[in-house]
Amino acid sequence: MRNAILVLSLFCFAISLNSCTKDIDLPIPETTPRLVMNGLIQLDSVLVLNLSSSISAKSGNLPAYVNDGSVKVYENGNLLSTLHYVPALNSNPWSTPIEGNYVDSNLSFLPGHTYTVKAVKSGFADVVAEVSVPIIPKVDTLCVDDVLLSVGGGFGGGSQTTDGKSIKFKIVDLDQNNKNYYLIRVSQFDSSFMGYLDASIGTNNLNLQDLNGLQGATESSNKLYLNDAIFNNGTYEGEIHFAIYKGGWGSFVAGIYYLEVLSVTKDYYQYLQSVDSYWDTNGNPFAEPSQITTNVTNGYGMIGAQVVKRFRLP
Amino acid sequence: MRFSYIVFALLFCALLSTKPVSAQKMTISGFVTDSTSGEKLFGAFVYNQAVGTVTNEFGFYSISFDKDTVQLTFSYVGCLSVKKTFIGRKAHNFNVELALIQSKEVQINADRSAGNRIQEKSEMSTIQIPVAQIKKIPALFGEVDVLKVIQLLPGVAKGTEGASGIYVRGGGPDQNLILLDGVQVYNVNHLFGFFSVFNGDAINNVSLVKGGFPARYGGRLSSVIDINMKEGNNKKMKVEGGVGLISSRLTIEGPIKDQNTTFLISGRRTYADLFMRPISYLLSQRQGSLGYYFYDLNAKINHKFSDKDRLFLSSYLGKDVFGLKASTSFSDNQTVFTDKLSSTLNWGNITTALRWNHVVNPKLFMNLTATYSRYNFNIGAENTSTTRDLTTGSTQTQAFGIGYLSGIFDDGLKLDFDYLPNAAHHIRFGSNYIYHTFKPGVTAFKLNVSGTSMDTTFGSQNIYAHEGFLYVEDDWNLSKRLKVNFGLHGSVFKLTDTTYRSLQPRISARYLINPDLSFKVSASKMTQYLHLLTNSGIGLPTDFWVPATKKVAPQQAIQYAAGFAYTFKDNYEFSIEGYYKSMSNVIEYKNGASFLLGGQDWQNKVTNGKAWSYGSELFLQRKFGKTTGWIGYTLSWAYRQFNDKNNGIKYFYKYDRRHDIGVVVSHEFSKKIDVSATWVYSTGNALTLATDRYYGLANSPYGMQSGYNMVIDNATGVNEFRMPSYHRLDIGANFHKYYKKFELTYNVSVYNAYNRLNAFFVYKTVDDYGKPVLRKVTIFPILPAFTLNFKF
Repeated sequence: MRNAILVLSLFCFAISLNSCTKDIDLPIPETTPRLVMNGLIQLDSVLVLNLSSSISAKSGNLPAYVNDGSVKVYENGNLLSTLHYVPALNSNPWSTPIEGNYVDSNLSFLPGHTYTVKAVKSGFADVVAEVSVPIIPKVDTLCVDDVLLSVGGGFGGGSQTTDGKSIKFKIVDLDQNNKNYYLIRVSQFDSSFMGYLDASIGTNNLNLQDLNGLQGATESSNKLYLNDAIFNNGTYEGEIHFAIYKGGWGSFVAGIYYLEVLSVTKDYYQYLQSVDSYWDTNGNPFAEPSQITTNVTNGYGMIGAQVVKRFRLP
Repeated sequence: MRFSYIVFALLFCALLSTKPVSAQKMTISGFVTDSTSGEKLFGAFVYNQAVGTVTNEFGFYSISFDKDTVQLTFSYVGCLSVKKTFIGRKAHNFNVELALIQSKEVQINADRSAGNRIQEKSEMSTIQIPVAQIKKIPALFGEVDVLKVIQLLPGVAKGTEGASGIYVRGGGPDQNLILLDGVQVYNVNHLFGFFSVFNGDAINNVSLVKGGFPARYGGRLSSVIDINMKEGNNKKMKVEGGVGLISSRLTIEGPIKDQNTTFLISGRRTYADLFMRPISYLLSQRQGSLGYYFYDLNAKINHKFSDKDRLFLSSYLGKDVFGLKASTSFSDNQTVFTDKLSSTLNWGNITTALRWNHVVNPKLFMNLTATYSRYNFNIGAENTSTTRDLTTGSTQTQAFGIGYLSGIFDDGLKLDFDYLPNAAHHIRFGSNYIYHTFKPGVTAFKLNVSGTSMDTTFGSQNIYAHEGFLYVEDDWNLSKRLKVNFGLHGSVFKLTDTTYRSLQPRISARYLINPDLSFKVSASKMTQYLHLLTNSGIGLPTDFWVPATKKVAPQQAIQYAAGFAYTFKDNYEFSIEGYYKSMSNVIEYKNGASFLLGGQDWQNKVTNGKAWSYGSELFLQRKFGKTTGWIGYTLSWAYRQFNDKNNGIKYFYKYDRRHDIGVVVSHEFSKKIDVSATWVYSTGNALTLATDRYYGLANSPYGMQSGYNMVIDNATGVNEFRMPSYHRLDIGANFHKYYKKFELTYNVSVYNAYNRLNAFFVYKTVDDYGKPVLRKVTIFPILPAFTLNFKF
């Protein structure tokens, strides 16, 4: 009996040493490719509309760009412009060139107007998206103070203090008939990037909705989402702070900072949140995967719109 | 509302039919106990030919007759029946002790006379599991686990592999009212859900109610798991315990001075930390160590003041403790740097119940219970960095600490009455009050930089709430064939700025088609004022309880069930039930939200919606004999629907299981050897997977113009796919050795005997050839266990 138990235990131990992971085929069906349309309408920029096609998530390849499609923009059913394809725009030397771009440098957009973007490509269902450009937000007061912030710390790392700025601001809700969606962002110039980077925003008023009667504000690492569910027709007063980026090796930091208050479309607002959630949960087997919001009928992607009120900080 | 009217009308009729206590009637009352241990027997049947009653959870019975002479039979499953004749129209007080049956033949006869068979009860969707059977069932690492046995029953789905999570009829893990001696236990998990907090040695009886809820229960939507601790042997001092692979346990019980006072104390502790600490210390090259352990302590004392009065004090204390310590140091010619880190993670429950049983008169029994329940979860880390300048001797210290605390504290008072005016009625009524203190997540920061310090806390504020309910129910024998249990449960929940009220009618009925077969129906409305915020659904201690608030309404459910109950060949019980349950105001975290994300109030992190489930359950059980066990099968569907999820479209609940099978068999070859086996099969958990890959608009202020193309693998629907199906066979054997004064039992068990690689979780990745695949991670392959149990 004793020997039997010993043999059984050794047998079980040997089996338990075998691999505890096993790869299995993805139990998902092959999907029909769809057109994917992405673009961000801004008042002071040219709309760059990107057209590509989706592939099955079973594939190990990258999706393909669509360079021979047709993209048209309408306002109230009237054709405003037919965008034309331009080869690889502003491609990043460290990544694959972005093809599938369509532009019309003469096309401009107006706040409060609604536009329809339609893309056609043979072999695919036509896709369409409708966007209402928000009106420019009004920021009443702005107060900026230099502060000392504690950053870092956590497991294995000591905390430290650094210079930062605190910004108090007041947003006036102008569009009283609609729900409005805002993003608040701080950008700062960094010479190594040769451009503006989003600063990491923090706030001491972590329970904004409690302190200010505001619902729907969520934090993110580099922007504050804000919808006017509660302060519709009123004003919102907030306070944020950010650490001054000292720059990496070889950086020249100009010390130029901007506060940007963006009014964005609801779809785009939800899209950005869903993308944030997507990256937060991506790869975590215990988290519920985030679904990406789209406003493109018959396809995927996002045609967003944003208008910006920008302030250079003292 | 119509449902409430029906129940009101029935209550009114019951009141009319309940004749007042008459001095001319014969009333027999008392307690039924086990002759070996003196434990009270819950559910013992006391009857005279056509009419009978059942003992309550304290073993009390009362029955009245309009006769001069009555012969009563006292019976209990597995015990020899006792018959007693009573003469005279007066109140008779009779306490009876029932002895365990030794031989098979008598067992069957006893069962025939039990009279308390499944088809005769008005209640449905209720299962009582003998603790002796629970102890025989093979268990993970040999650790007897009540909740894992409950998972084997039809209508109950387990969560993930190895975890103790319980999902009853499509409900969530928060919708189970788990009572230990009448006190709510909020977190029933040890070791992230792999073990439950209930120590089998300290438990007297376990019952599961998953539908047709009697009015005395409330506060949860999906189930009641009522666990009662042993009272302590009043005949002799008894010691039992065991030494297992991961824990040891010891239970001592017995009388103090005389049989009127008994005690029980039972403890269990794991000892993984004793090995983990030195091993991790050596592996980390003496720079740190980590350890984990959990313990449980159950204690109970009760004193019988008289036949009418008895006092119980029972308590449970359990805790999980994880600790990590690390220290690093290095230096150059001028400076010595030292970095110390300590991290702790602990959670645990404390519950206490003080009960007073009082027999007000032979027909009225009272139980007053004061309850105390504490659940705490703490996670914390502290880091101290010291820089010592060797030239100047100066030292600079930076200390940083972060802590997160959540919990729920309850203090309550409960008053219950059992009133048995005549043989046709068993009326229960009472009230309950609980004062809740919710600590739904507070984060604390501490910072000390060279003497300048900051100490701050933020997060959700404590929330205080009053919860109370009143109930009345009657188990009414309307005729020989028809028996109805109906009642009303009225509850109120009060926060500072909000008050919720709910009237919940309950009804269940059985109609005896013939002596062995009955048809049963039930309907019940339930309200739950508490929500559980859970990210993982696997019973992590980070799940925490929050109340219904002005923004987040209470959960509600209505459940209907119908079925047949049948006993055949004396010892086989069979039931088939169908149910439909709809739930509203069920909450879930919004996409991407979690308990530690930012300091937002939890109310803004959740979304509420509705849920519904339906299905059918088959249950075949053999309760005693040489071979015992059951076969359970569930065919079910469970859905969720939230405005903020899946574009508002309904989707399968994560633990929706189309098929769920549980088979449990124990066989006693002789007094020296018994073997047991369980086999489970279930459809895999629902799973969300990306179906399409495409480029997304870059999450950047500059959109696609940033030169950054973002590839998204998007899930078009929630829980559209399934993990691989789950099945597992566990086998075990007990070898008993009897000595003059003690008994030794060698328990050998094998968990997952055919080494099925069941998925604990899956994730999408790419294989060596770049092909996207689903990687299945298994944590419990075949696992043998050995436990030595002793008893004297």
